[in-house]
Amino acid sequence: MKKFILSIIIIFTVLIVIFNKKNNNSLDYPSYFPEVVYDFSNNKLEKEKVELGKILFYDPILSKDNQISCASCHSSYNAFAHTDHKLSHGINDQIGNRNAPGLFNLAWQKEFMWDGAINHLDMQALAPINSEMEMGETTKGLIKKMQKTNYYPKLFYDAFKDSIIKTEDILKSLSQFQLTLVSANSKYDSMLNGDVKFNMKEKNGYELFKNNCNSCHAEPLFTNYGYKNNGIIEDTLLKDLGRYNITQNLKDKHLFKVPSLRNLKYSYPYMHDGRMKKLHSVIDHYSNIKIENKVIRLNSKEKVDLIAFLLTLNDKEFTLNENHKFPKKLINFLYQ
Amino acid sequence: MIMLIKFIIPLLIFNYNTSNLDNIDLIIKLNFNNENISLNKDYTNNQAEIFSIRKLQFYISELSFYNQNKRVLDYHKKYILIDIENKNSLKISIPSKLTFDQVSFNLGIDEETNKTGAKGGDLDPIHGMYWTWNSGYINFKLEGHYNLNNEFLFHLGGFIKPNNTLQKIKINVSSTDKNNIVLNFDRFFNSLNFKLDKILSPGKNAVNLSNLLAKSIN
Repeated sequence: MKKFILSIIIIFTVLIVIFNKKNNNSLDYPSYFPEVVYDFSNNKLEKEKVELGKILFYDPILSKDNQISCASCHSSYNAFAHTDHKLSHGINDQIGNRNAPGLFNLAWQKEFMWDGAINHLDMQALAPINSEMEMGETTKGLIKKMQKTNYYPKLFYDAFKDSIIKTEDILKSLSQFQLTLVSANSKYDSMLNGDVKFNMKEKNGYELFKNNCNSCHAEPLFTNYGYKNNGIIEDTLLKDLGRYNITQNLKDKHLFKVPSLRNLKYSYPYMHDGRMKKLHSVIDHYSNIKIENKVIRLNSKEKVDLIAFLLTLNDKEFTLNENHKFPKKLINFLYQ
Repeated sequence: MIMLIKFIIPLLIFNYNTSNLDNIDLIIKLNFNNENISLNKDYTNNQAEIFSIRKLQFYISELSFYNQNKRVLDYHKKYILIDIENKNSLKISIPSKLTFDQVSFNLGIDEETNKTGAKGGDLDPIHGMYWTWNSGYINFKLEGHYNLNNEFLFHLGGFIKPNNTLQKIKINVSSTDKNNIVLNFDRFFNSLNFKLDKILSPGKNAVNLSNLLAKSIN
């Protein structure tokens, strides 16, 4: 009997420890990832807030004509990028001027957009919502619409103990959902964990990567989040000056944020304006130019090996994660 | 020890209550040519430029009161959005017994606040004082007309060096007019080049104009 009670106590203790860990307001991520940069102390992860953020992410109410949601350009099946569109589509059949990037591992990212225009994840959503080319709404108009629905006041009450909807709470819950989008289940991750081994091609590719690409696309996030001129010529129609638009510093002309190389299979086309459809076009581009006095020279076998390595960065599990998909609750809200 | 706490707590509460009861409202006055600025009224500056103002909003932050160069009070609200259309925003509630001869504040929002994510209250982006396409608060917003039909829009902001527009202000408070803090826009409107028409992003022009603003108010 004593043993029985003792084991019950032990089981309970273990359960409590596990439960507390899950509610630890922190993200689950591999030990070889660096420390997060997002300050969770101002926005502690909570189930209700993450859920609310997900509903907001998928709800077209965010756009003026109630047609476009965040997910319109950031699809979970494509690692939250938009496959096939070079440039994002917006309200009233408008075409934007940048390629929608994938959304993952955002807790490690300091600045957002291809030019780093946005300096905090919380503030990011304001840009597409208020852009006439994207969602065409105003923050004020959005809150008015949301307050009138029969679901948001309750959801905000559940999450923030206040049924009066505030900008800060919208932004923080959107951040919460996006912060949970951690992609760390690729073959590369399994290799680091010792669960699988790379084949010869992948191994060679990994060496080539470390010698030629790692300084900007730094492991394990595969970006250093810096801004670089990668040698592609300015598009004559878009005339996009990149980082310069934000800093007004001549040195920043044609600099764009270094994107992560994770999930490339799902996030084509490539580059800030989506001009390259295929990964081998990207590799060909880099083996033809000089960047920062360095020329990357690869023969055709090496190119194949490098691509074999890059494909180990695809996280299929991430793209199929049920927790990231359209919330069924929202269907009931929208069509009741 | 417990005795000491028992003794101190009522004292604290007592002090808190009295200070709340005995508050007075200071009024922030926005002046041009010795009168309160009004909206949609024609003014003439000393360059004979005729102008009218449609909108005037700006942030003041970290307001402190000084007496004989010693800081005597930090205002409880760290950020205040001044809006000429909202009379309440021009009221500052302080203890009536406070003696002071100077006030200091920042005109605008500091870098740290600009970089640390979503905020509410006066800092809610819904007030239209936030650039959604290029993160950062608009420190000062002035809109109106000059030369009858020409529109001007001056949205001054930017916190990244060298285009930082935050301005430190320290002004003397008149001993005869203790209930008002007067912000003097004379030099600003007299020197303002209305033909700049529009400043809607951080940069050199925003810095120059915010420097002029600080010189006028200081």
